[in-house]
Amino acid sequence: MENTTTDIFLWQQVKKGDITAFEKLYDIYADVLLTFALQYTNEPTIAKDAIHDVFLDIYKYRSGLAENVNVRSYLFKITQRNVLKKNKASQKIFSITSDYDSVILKELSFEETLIEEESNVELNSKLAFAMEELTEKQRKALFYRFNEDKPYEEIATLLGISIESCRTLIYRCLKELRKKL
Amino acid sequence: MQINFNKISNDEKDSLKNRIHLGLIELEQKESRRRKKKRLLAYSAAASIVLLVSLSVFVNRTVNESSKPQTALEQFAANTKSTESNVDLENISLVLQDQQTIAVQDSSVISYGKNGEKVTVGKQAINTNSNNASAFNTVRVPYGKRTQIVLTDGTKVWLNSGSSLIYPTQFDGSIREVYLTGEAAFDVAHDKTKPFFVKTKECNVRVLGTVFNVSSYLEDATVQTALLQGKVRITYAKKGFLNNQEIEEDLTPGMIATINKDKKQIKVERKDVASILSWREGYFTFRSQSLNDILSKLSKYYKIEFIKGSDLNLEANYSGSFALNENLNSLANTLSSITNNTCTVNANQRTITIK
Repeated sequence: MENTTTDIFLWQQVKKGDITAFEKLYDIYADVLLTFALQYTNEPTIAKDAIHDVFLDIYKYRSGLAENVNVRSYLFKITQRNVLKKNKASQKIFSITSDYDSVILKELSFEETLIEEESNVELNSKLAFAMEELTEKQRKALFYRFNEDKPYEEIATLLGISIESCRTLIYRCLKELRKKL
Repeated sequence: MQINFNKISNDEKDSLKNRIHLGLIELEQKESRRRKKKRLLAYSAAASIVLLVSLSVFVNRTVNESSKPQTALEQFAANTKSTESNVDLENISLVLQDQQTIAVQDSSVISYGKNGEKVTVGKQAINTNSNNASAFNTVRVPYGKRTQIVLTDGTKVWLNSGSSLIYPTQFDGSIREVYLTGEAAFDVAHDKTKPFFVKTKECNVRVLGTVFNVSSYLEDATVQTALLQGKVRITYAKKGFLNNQEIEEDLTPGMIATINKDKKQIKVERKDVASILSWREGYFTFRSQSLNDILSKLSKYYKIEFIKGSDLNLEANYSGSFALNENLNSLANTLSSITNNTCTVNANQRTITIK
């Protein structure tokens, strides 16, 4: 992942307590990090809370932050970590009240989990950037199709376009996304 | 691979930002309390009593209009109706200080003399009847037309369709400033002692002897400044985490700054600037622009309305060029061949149906 000069500059400023730089960093990354966080949870609340925690922690612990860090990678990694932690927390509650014995799923070795999580971040962050470039219409179309399993006729009506354009729209979006991933 | 395409609404994003803002204030307060405690401990070690100045971060959360005092030009611009849309305007008009309105022929040049007392409109010489320093003249250009103004300091301004420019007949003060609604290109005369400012509703562009284009149409979602030569500094007000901030961005040639009016964010890119200024020459040139943007510009430059077919892909990108004095039929033909859509002209209503 790129570590742009702006990122490095803003990072150094944030370490000094520069709130303007902090805000600029937030403005640059908030949207894409929210989209990214939503790949690890279905709950918008969890995604928003994660971004909230990530940024406030950055400011809170700014003096302890590493100087030469790849800002972009760092932001995505800790966002992922935060969301997964929140997921586990909500799961714990679920399993306590569960009537069934916990089912032991396949457990990956610690190393394998790490590697899988890392490549996961790479892919999902690329995905998040690509998704941010979609228009409102394109994103809605993809959401209706792949997250709500709506048929093309319904999507076409919702978007106010013909069924043919709907197919073309979705086909082209997927093509674009594949190119970027 | 299952992808979540759901999007968090802009309202939710705004309230998230506010939450973080509040969280930041809390952190700041905690930190300053901790610092106070530390200091208190240090001082209490000494025998003497010391007065502590309390540090508090005072944050203004209400929406604040820019607290900078408005110049006479800005006040004039705010009060005058001429900054509203030029939709009903028939001819290019020049409004003098005494409210006298002069009709200007399409593609004429409006040229001011050295002391601002006389102005030549095309071939006609007119007295400006300006009697004081805040003698402001206004030029209004309807959609479908363009004009050129030479200001009293020699600065050339090309005013594009649907635009207005308010300026003084004499640059008497310590700065030179003009007020723009719509789109104009500037070739600013060098004067190191008097910096040149282009003011629009959203931002100010400070100039250092340069050639650039400013696009600030009321109906557009963005304000764009493109620099061809020289250097400019753009200043705009942004409601930030702390107080109102004044953001400054410097541009060097080949750069385009786009300000999103809603998000109050600025994006600076390196792009082709020459084509943005091509309308001065009488051409509308576009490189890899979306059909939506192209049609929106064509509407302004030619004063036509587009009826878009429901299947039209507005996000498709095209490159091409139109001569600005084309008639509607040849415009429709060129548009058809560039975009591979069918274009039908309705000359009476001045509309083109594209599908």
